[in-house]
Amino acid sequence: MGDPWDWGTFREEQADLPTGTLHYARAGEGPPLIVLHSAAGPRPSPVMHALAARHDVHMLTAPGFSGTPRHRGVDDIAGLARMVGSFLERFGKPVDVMGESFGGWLALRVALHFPQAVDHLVLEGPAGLREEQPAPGVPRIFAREATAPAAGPYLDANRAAFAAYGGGVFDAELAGRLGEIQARTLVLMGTEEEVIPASTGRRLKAGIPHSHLTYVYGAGHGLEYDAPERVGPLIARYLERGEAFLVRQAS
Amino acid sequence: MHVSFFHLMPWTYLDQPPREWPAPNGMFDPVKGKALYDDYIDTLAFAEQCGFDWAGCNEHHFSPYGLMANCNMVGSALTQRTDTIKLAMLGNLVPLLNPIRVAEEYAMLDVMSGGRLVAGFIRGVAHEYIAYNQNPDESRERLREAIALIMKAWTEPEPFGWEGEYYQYPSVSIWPRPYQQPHPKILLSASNEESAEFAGLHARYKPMVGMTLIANLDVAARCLDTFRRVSRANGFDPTADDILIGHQTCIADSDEEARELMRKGLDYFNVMLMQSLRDAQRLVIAKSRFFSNEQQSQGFVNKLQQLRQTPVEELIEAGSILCGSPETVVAQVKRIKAKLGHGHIQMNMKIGDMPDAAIRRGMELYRDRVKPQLEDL
Repeated sequence: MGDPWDWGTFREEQADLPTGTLHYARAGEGPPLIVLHSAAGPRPSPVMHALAARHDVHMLTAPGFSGTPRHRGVDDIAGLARMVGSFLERFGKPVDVMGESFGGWLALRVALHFPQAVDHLVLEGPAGLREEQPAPGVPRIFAREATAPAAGPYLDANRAAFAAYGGGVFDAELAGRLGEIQARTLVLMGTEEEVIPASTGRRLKAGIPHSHLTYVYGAGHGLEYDAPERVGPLIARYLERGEAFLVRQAS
Repeated sequence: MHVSFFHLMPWTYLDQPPREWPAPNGMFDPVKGKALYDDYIDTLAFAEQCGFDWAGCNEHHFSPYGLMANCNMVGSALTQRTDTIKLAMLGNLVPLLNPIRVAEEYAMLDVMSGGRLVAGFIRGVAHEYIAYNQNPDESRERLREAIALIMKAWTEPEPFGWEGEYYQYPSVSIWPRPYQQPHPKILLSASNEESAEFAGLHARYKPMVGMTLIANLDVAARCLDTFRRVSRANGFDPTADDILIGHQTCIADSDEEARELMRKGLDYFNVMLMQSLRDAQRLVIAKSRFFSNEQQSQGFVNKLQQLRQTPVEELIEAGSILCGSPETVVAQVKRIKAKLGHGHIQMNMKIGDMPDAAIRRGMELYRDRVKPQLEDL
């Protein structure tokens, strides 16, 4: 796919939607899991490979990211959510949706506008709810440099695409309507998170009726690379067991 | 200068040292034990009347060295016996315990006392890792994660889960939450270079540090410099008030009397209370990475050996102990402060089996003739 990462069993597929062609990477068998990427674009993290062992993972590429063309009339986060919603129609039943950072924001919008289409919702350091100014200085994305991914060829272009969709703003409409989100939601925040304000996790936990906020100790914004050995099994457990993920099982 | 009164709650009825650690508990007489708890809690409450800033206690297991398997129970009693003195738990041995339980008990103490808790997060001495069967190699990393978890438990307004390396809790929301906001004052150890750096890396919580068993003022000063340097590099500039130095302390009417009391107390402390601990400590230190390198391990063992074999006069000179008439003790405090720049002293006055009447007398002398001289220091 023209980048330095190991995509393993992921293969490229595409879907024709009314707004244009949606590209996605797909791997695994099992219940569908829709993955919405961060501003860095789609990447095959260790967590993605682990989830593909038990899910039919669809890692969507938001139009304009990773060299793909923009879609007609898809200009903002609501438009993106509508586009994802039209893709979800093909499953004919609610599916699990997860999103990282920018993709977390998008996943929240999808869950808000298409409540019948979303089963579980998993958010990793979700963007879209930054009310306060960022702290001065350049935030650290990965707490563990040794396991951080190589920068892909589209990093700058993808950041520009992110900015074109609104960037790291405060989505007041979303913030005001969190109580309408019906999906059971798991929010993951790293204890070393520097990109997303800590208030985001608390706001989501307080606002979404059926939600859990879990801190991943020692991880920064790049949860899937900083702590894949804990994040992968945690998400898998949540998707498999739902609310019962709270109840410890014999190991 | 702030001054704390600290109690180890030793068992004082030994006529020979326990043959091993853990000490056989057949040597413990519960009836005498009940009387000791009464006396010791009275003494800690009396510290408030003598103008001490804190009443402090700590946690030890399986030995006559100290009768506080859980110092929070003593702290809890003190919430009902005192009104103003801070209650310093110095501290819970966090890596050995359930951190959520520590967060809850500390929060209870803080609320019950109306915000008087000082919360020590302590790794503990090496042999306690045998007592609670925890891996000493993991002690520092467990402490690091447990502190992060406890701070979250104290400050998060919403229920949260914790997915850690050592601790996993799916849903936490402690009741009560602490009285002090944003959280109780915390205290970490700076007793060696590793601990001092560790404390500095917790600058985000603006911790106090404590240091006891000083064997050499220059070494102690270097540890404190490490704490200050690492703290500043992480955005916290500690003041004198953030540094507590602990001393075994005897204040008597004359220097001679104080030294005699100290000599006898230290004899009991070193032989009856410490002897059986040493082998267990050495075993853990030798067979684990409780300290990260040989130099730190050997430094600890040497320090204990040195303190044990040193006469009272030299312990005074080394800055280990405070001992003498009120005027002498004031001079000793000033000399040590000039070297270490601390703003808080912790006086551990129940040395070994030192008679309680002598300790009461020392506390009164502190109130009448030491405290007034230290207030502006």
